[in-house]
Amino acid sequence: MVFSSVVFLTVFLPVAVLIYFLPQIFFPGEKRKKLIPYKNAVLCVLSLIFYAWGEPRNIALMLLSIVFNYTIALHMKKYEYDKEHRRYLLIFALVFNLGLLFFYKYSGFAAENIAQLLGFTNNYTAPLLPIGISFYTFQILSYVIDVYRQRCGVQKNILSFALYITFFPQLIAGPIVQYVDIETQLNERTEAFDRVFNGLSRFVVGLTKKVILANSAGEAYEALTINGFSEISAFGAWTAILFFAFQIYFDFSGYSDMAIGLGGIFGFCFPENFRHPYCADSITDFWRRWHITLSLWFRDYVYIPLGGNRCSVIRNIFNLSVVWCLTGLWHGASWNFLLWGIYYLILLIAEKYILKDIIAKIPQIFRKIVTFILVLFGWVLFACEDISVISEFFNALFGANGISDNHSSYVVSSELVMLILMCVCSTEIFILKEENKNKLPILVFRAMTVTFLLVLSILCLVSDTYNPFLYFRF
Amino acid sequence: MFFVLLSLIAVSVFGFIFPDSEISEKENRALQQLPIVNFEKIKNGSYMEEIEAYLSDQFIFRDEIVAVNNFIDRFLGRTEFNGVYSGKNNRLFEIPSVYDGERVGKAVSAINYFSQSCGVAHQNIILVPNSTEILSAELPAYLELASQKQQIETIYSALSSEIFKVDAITTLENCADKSGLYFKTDHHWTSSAAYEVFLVYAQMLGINASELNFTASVVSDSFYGTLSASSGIYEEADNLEVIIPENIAGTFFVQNYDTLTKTSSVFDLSKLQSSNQYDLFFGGNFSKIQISTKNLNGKKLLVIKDSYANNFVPFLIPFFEKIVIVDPRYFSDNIYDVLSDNGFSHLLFLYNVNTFLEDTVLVDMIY
Repeated sequence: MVFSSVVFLTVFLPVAVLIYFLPQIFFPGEKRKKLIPYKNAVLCVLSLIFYAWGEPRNIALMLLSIVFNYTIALHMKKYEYDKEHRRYLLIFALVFNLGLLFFYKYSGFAAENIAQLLGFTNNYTAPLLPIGISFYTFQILSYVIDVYRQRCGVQKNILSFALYITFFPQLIAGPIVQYVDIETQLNERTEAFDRVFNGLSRFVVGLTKKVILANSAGEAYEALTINGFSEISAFGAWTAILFFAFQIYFDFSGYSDMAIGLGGIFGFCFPENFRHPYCADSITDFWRRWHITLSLWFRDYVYIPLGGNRCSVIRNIFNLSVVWCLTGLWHGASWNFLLWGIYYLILLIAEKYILKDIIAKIPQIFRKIVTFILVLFGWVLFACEDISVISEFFNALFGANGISDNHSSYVVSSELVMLILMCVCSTEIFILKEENKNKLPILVFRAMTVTFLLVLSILCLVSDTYNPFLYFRF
Repeated sequence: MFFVLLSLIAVSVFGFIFPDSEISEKENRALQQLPIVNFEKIKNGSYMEEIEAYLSDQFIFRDEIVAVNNFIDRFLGRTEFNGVYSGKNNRLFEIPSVYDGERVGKAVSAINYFSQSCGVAHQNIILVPNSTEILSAELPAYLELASQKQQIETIYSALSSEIFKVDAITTLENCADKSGLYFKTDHHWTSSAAYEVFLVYAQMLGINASELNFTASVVSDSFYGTLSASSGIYEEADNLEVIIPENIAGTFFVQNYDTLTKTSSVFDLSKLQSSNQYDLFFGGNFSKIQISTKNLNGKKLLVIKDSYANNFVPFLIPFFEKIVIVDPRYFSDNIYDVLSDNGFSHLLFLYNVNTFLEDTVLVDMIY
């Protein structure tokens, strides 16, 4: 199931909230804590339904993963004082989890390239990718690794553990929640009225980002690039990559907002995942604002274990290279994603070791503009899964096919209002000051805005299914 | 503060209380009903898809929601709605068909083959441009479309010299009131456009059309056509006008080989009450229709056509003994049987460019 669907909004979510909160009527005050097992069970079952809704066939794989990793962790607890033994268990768990991820996500890509390299014909058909596997594998790994390091306790309640893996708000598109961040919340959390309201508002903001902004940006990008990149003008290419940047940002951050909001409704506090990344004033800054939980995961489970930056420059560059190649490939099994990772590796090393002093002297506004343009160039690599068109795209950006063309003007003129809206919405002007958030007039205004945005999003979702059958057409 | 959640719950509760609709008038299709639980369907996911379709199809105030959404989209400056351009002056345009040289080449050689083998003395073709070509001034800003004038020229020049080509595009381009040549909400040309082209065709046949009087009458002022239905935009209704030669009542009868009916009129007035009033002409599109008149002059015409012919053919009634109208999209018999049964003196291909470019069945009918 996806959040931006009529079934989620009008059936799943209201029913989930009712089942979750209704028993509270009979458990006033302190007694509410007794409801936690019930609540966790409810969320767990709902999450499995949520997952199975789109892909019933992968539910078995998910349950297997849960049982396996739950058991591994229990064994690690048993060998609390035997690090050697725990290490074997960890290696076993890594091989199992990463093996599954590799099999589902990368085996097709690997087979294709090996076959090409050795001159075979490739008869291998890759399995279909189970939704969310990249996200939940990383969550599982954070648990198993931290149990190994004894950074967190072992979850003895399989229901609580299953909830951590399957919890529907973050199951499909993150944020990647590390087990340590949520350990206590699994058993102790308070759902308060204002948190439910804040959660709902956050959810609706995310929904609007996805349904109205991201989908429009996606359609505009498709429309602009419908004839490929060999003829598109500079104007068309720049607006196309701008729309792509907005599509990917509003889509992804919209999903994160929805996840964080939904988590809030049920009393969970998820880490932030995006902080207006297009306002970053350096590439380093961009990665502190873009998909934050992924960067933190790689920092905590790859970069620091490799030695981080407390080592020689050469070793540090090696560590960074590992992290950024993996980051690239995490986004998809294709060469262009690897290229995209390496592109950022180079930019980050340049910033860190060469340009550090120069950058500090440039006025911030220029830094922001240059950063944004560099990020846009990055999206060119990201957008073109077919490596050979990347150069065509760059040529078009630099005017190889003329300055402007009518087709691009037509598409942009019909999406101009949305484009302006997207620009405005990706800046930081809508951030409310913490102390103003709960003042009554602002609260009322927020409630009205949220209702309006919700209506607008549903309007869009329902209208998308308008599908007249025109038998008289032919 | 729970207003948001309450409104969501309210919508779903209302949705359940509100009786489900079987069909949608606006969308002209059956709406998804609540699917019955079925393990096999759950396993392959189709049950969930049906539930999602059910919820959005039966969504409360669905038609109104679509209308409001379209209004917002147009306000934002969007111009493309489900295969339809929304242009200036509330005019809707069908998005033109793509010119596929290979497909056109096949159609052209099929027509040439037919021209040679049919044995009909007088052969004509009319390719009618679409509103995007004639009324390009009312298209959305910056929209640039392939020239149908060039497409028609290419096709005409590839056709056999036995077939006389009617220059519909120049005729329509030279009209004083071009906006009346096409409907704003439908993809067809109007009767007045058809009349203008008829005059040219009549001249080519050596018919003196000016001897006859034609009467025009508006039969509906609430016509919303296919383009409104596709886009969901119902802005400004069209007038539906019919033009017919005077004093032809009682001089002919119309046989429809699909419905097996015989009538004395080319109009089916009951269609003015239906969701597509354009079906008024001959009741819609059928595989074969025959018009037999009392004018026993030996002139017999075969029309191979799409729906653009429906308001064109009535002009021809006074001049022929018999008119057989074949629509290849529905016709599954042998066209050569029709030829040998009737002994035609005239042959007319009448297509609009969009249908012609997409057509694949004409070739099948001929070979």
